[in-house]
Amino acid sequence: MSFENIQINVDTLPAVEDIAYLPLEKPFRTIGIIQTIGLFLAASALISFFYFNADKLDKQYFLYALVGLSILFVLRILAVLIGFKYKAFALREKDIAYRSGWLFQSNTLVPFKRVQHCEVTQGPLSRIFGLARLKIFTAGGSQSDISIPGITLGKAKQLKSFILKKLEHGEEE
Amino acid sequence: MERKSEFNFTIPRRQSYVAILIIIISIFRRIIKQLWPLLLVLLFNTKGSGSTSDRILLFLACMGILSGVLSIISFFKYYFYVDEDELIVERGILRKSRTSIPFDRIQTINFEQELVHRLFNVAKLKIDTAGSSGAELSLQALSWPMANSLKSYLLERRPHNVLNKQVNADDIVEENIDHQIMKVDFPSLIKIGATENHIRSGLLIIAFCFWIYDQLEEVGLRSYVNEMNVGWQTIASSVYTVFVLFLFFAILAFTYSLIRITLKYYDLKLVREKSGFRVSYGLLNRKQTSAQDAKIQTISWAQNWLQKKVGLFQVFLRQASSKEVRSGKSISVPGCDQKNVEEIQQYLLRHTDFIAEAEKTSVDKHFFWYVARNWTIAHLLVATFMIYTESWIQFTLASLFYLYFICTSWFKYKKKGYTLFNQVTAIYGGAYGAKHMVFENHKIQTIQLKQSWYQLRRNLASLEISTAGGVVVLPFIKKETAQKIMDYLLYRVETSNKAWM
Repeated sequence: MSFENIQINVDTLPAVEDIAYLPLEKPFRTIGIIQTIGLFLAASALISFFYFNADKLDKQYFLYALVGLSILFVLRILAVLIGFKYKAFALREKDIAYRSGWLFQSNTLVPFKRVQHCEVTQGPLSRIFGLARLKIFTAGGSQSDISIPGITLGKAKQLKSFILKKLEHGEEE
Repeated sequence: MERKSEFNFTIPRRQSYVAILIIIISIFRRIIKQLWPLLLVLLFNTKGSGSTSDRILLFLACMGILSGVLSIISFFKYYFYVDEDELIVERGILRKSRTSIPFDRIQTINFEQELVHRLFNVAKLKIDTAGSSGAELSLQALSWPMANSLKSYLLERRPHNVLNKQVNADDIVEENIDHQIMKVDFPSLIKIGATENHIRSGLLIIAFCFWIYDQLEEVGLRSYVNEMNVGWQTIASSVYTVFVLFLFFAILAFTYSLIRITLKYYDLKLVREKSGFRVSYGLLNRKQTSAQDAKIQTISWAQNWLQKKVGLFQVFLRQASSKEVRSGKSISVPGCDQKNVEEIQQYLLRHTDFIAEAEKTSVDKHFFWYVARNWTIAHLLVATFMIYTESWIQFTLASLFYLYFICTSWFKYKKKGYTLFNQVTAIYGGAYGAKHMVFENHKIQTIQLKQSWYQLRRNLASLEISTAGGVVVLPFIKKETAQKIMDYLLYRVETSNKAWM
C-alpha cells in the first residue's frame, strides 16, 4: 500500500466563504404569502364561528385569540419576506450547498459522493407557479438532508440528473 | 477460514421445533403484560360475582388456545432457504408472503438467546438490512450449530466482503483467529453495577411505582389505593420518615442498578474477529452482537463521575443503518479500562494518525456564557416570584438547582474540545465525567454551519457534522475557524476514495 502524506495549506483550499449563492425564484415568496393568508383566513373563520356561538361572557376570549392570531400572521409574513432573502443554494464541482434562516442561520454542504438519492416534488400551489422542490438524501439522517424549495421544475430536474450523473461517475473512479 | 458448511441451505427448511414453544410463550407474555391488572382483579374477586369472572377467564383461555393453534400452523408454514444470492423466507397461512434479502443488503447478523432458547440450545437470528425500508428479519429459533453456520454462510457470500479484502489486503492474514479483547468477571461486574447512574435508577423506580398506581386505579382497586394514599400522607409529614424514605429509595436504586447490570452484562466478552468485533453478554437472556469495521461510523468512550474514580469506560461503536433502526445499532461495551479502550481504537484506527488527547483545541467561552445567561434570566424570574410569595423552601431548592446547572455548564465548557487529524477527527466532552468521540473524516456525510442570533452578533458558529452513525456538534467556535474546518473536512471527504461503508 503506498502511503502519502502531503502537507495541506488550509488557506489555499476552496473556501465555503467564497461561494456565490443563487437566490430562489421570486414566485416562491408569493406562494409563501398566499399560504400564510390562506391559513390565517381559515383560522380566523374558525375563531369567528366560535365567537358567534359562544356565551356572552366567553366572547372576549375569542377576541383575544383573534388578536394573537393577527400578531402571528404579521410575524409570519415578515418571516416569509425576510427569510426569502436568506434562502439560497449553490453548486460546486464536488458538492451542493444550501443556506437558510434569518435569526437562526444554517448552511449545509453535501458532497455528491455521499448522496443516496434525489427527489423532485411539487405541491399544488407550486405547480401553478411552475416551481418545484429538490430533496437530496444522504445516510446522515433527516436532520442533515437538503431540501431546496422554490426552483423551476426544469432546473430541479436538471440538477437532479446532474447530481445522479456525478454519483455514477464517482463510483467508476 | 473456508469451512465446509454441514447444512445445505438451498433446501427450504423450517425452524427448530422449539420455535412453537417460544411463540406460545411470547403470546402468553403479551396477554399478561396487557391484562395483568384485570387478571389480578379476577384472582382477588373470588367471592363476588363468580359467573362474570368465570366467563372472562373462559374467554381468555379460548383466546390463548386459538392463538396457540394459529402459531403452530404458522410454524409449519414457515420456510427459509437460500436462492442464488438471496435469503428467502416464505410464510403465511391464508395469505402467503415471500421475503427475500439479497446478501449484499445484509448489514449485521446477531444472535439472541432468552431463557427458553438457552434451555434447548437454540438461538434467535436477527438479520439487519440496509436501505430506507429498514427491514429486519428474525428467525425465532435455530439450533445453535445451524445458526452459526447460517451466519458464516451468509457473511462469506456477501459481495461487500470481497471489496473489503482488496482494500486491507495486509490485515486478512493476521486476523484469522479470534482474539478476546476483554472479559467481564464477577468482581468487575460488581464494579460496573456500583458505578452506574443511581439517580437514573431511582427515577426509574419512582416512575415504575407511579405506573403501577395508575394501572391499579384504572382497574378499580381505587379504594385500596386511596387507603394507602392517606397512609402515605401521614408518613410523609415527619422529617425523620422523609429521611428514612429517601435512604430506602437510595438503597433500592443501588440494588436495582446492581441486579440490572448483573443480569444484563453477566459474562460479557468482547472478541476481535475477522475484520470486526463480536460482543456477547447476559445471564438469563444472552445476546451476541457483531459489527464489521466497515460499518462502524463513530467510536465513543464515556465515563461518569464514579467510573472516572475507578478508571472504567463504556465504549460505543455506532454502526451505519437505516433511519428506523438506528437507535439500536450501537455496540456498547461497559467496564473497559484505559487499555481496552486503546486496543479497540488501535484495531479501528491503526492506519490513521489518531493520537488520543493530542493538541486539544478549546471552544469559545460563550459556550458557557450563553447557557449561563439563559439560566440566570430564568432563575431571576422564578426567584423574584418566590421571594414575593415568601416560599422559602422552593426558593432554596431552585437556587441549588441553578447553582448545579451553572457548575455543570462550566465543567462542560472546560472539557469541550476537538482535534483535527489528517484522517480522523476527535471531539472531547463531558461534565463531571468524560464523553469522547472519534470518527474517520471520510465517513462524514454532510456538514452544517449554524449560527443563532446570539452567535451571529459575536461572530461565532456551531458546526454540525453528520455521519451515518449520528450527528456530532462542534459548538461555539469562531466563524472563520468553523469555515476553515468545513473547508478542510470537505476537502478530506471529496478527495478520499475510501468507501464510507
